[in-house]
Amino acid sequence: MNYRKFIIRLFTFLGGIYFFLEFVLPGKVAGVQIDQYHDQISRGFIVVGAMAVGLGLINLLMVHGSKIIFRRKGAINSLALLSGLFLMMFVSGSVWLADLNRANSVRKITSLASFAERIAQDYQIKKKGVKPYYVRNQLLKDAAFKALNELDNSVNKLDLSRLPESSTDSTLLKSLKRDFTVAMMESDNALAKLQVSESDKPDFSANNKVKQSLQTVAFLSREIKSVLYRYSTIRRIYTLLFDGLFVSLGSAMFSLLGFYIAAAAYRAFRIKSAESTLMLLAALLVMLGQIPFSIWIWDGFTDIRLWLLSVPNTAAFRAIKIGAAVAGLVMAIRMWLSIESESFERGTEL
Amino acid sequence: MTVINYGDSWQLATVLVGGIATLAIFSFLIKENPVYRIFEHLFIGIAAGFGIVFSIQRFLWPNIMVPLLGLDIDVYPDGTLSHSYNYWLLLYILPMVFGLLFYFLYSKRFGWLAKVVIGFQLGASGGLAFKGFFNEMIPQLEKSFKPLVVFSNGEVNYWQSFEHILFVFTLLSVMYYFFFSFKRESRLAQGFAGSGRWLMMICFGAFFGSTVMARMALLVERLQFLIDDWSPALKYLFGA
Amino acid sequence: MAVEHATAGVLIFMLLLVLPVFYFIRRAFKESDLYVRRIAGIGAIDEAVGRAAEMGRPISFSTGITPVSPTLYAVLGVLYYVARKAALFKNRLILPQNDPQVMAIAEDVMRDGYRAEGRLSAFDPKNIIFLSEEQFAFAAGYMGLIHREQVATAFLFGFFAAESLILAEAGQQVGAMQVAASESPEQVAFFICTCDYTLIGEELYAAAAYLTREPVQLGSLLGQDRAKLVFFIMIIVGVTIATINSFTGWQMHNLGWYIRYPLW
Repeated sequence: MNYRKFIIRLFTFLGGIYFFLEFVLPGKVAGVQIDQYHDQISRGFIVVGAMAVGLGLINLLMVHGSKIIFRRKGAINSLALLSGLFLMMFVSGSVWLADLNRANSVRKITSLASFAERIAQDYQIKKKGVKPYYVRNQLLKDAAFKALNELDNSVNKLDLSRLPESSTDSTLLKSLKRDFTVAMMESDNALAKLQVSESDKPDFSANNKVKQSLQTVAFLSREIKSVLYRYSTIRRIYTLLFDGLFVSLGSAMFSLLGFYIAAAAYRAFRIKSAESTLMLLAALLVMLGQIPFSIWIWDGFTDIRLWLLSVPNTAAFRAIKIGAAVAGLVMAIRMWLSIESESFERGTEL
Repeated sequence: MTVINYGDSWQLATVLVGGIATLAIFSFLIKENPVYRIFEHLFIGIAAGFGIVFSIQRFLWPNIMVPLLGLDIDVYPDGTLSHSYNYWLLLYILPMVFGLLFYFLYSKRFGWLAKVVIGFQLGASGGLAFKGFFNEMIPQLEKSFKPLVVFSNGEVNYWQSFEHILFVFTLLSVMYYFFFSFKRESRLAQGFAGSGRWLMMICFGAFFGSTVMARMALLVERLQFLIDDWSPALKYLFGA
Repeated sequence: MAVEHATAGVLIFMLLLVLPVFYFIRRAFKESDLYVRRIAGIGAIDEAVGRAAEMGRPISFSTGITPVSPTLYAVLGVLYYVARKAALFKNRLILPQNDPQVMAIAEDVMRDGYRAEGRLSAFDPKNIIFLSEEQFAFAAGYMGLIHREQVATAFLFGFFAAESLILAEAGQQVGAMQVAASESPEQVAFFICTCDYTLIGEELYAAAAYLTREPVQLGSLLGQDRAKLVFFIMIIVGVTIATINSFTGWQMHNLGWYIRYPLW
């Protein structure tokens, strides 16, 4: 066995050993919690797979790019494919960046909201190495007033005329703006009540109110910007591509099943053998049990349908699944331990 | 029927394009044609473009990159941090670099490196199979332990007993049908396996029947879109 | 209730399932005439490849939306066999693909098949066509490809979801002979209605062993049967205990209790 094959087999084995041991060993071995870092380790495995995100892209570029460059048959279709790909990547990426920007624009406010809570928590656990609570409250107050002022200015500068006057979004926006103004006033009031003097008795309900009101301001500001963003050009292009093309094409493909299931039923359920007759009868009984009109014929069809699906159907499915699962487990062991058949080993050039 | 503002040209365009795309796919039912081909390729391109951004946006960026780069750490006005940087996160660099080996697939000389990471994934899949298997199979096994004779209020419940007997018979006969290395020399064995096959046909027919309504509903949804949304949009476009 | 960590019962159960596999793999290397009964749909694979060769039209082999998993491993065994036959008959073999990682593995296997027949020069990597990772975009691409290439034979082996009927109907429309295999019983129902031959459930896993008769594959198949026999016997025992409980009113613990019992 050459060294490359050995390395591949070694990594194949290493890939599975953690999950195998995590299952066969008890939760705690010699005082050590085996699955303490299970989430982080699982995430690491997912990261490995996620890094393959560009593989499909490279393949599409190579195949369709060469068709366009060398003007082979199907170059127009390849051009459509690559145009759609790059446009969608650009537009999706832009929409995502805009989402991140919106979140960042209120990051200061959300950060101050969590700071308000942290002041109270640190006091309660008597945390060392931090400034006194009243000093921190003063710093919070100053920073929050400044941040709220900046946010208020930025929201007031937004061009709300983009929205059609009578649209539901316009009504929504007006309502959000009203709520935003009220939330700003509540934040100001909550901040004014913060205990900033050493002589004040510690009472952190004001901190809690500051946290909630700042979170509300941040949420409403994000919502206002989200509603407005829906009317930006990039977002509209995204909606056109996603809803107009991607979703429509997917739904249309899915709906072809309506035609095909009828065609398949017509072909399969002709009485050409005893087996197909049995399939036909079972399918017919279940279909009759599903449609509302069947009660005009006989009201027992629903019960027959439920019985067929819960007794013989469940039993047969279970048997098939048991067999497939056992076969899958055996295959998994072979894969993990690299017990390959000669067909995979012979001639595999590495 | 969705509320569409036909005066909004973008919404109008979205609905029109959606209808054309739908009809392009439906045109395949007649024959494979250039219009279908264009939309097929567009679909593949858009799906690929969306998929790449989606996987980065939903997983790689928020769960890995943001904590790794410390972008989720806030500095409070008093100079303290929302939380300290967890240096163990740097370990995520290892799987990220390891995952980059996938791209050696396109190298003739170093293509074997891609097999290392593919093998790793195969191994992980194999290791995970144990837990998945027992978590799926043990409950299935337990639910199969049905008593062949059921009593209710001190008397035999014949109907339920019959159901249980049929259930167990179906389960065992279908399992027996899938034994590949045991010879079925006796008529009993052949009959048992044969009945398993018959019962499977009932099962497949029943399942087929149960999906017909759902599939028809999908078709109805698309047709409703064409009739209730697309058709009025078309009329609006041509000034009717 | 989920089994987070193996109990003693689970470990014994695991050994009962796994040990026969190792035993029979060893035995298969020593004995060459181990019995495997005839499986109807598998014999059709040769027939299907031969048909494509006669008609001079290509063969399509789709792994559906199978990810890197044990199922893929099973499918590759059949792919290797089909690739060898296609190379032997000088037939074009097309592999529409859904997953780039699967594509890489499938390309290797297909190349090995051609190499085994001494026809490596006939192998064209362009016949392995990546379509899309998105389910219905893949189905749309597959439909168009099958129609444009006018395939004579279509193999649908692996894991499929709702798009199974779309893929099978596409082959029907061009008059292709279709052999399908899915471990998922939900999709088997559709394949039975649209394909000429359908392998049900674990027949997919048995296919490679049956075709190649290689010791590892044969041994695995025989070991699998013994593992299923364990299930078979456990069901009989469990049903017996449940029936006795029902008759007598005793509350004997059934097998599930013993399997789950935490010794440590």
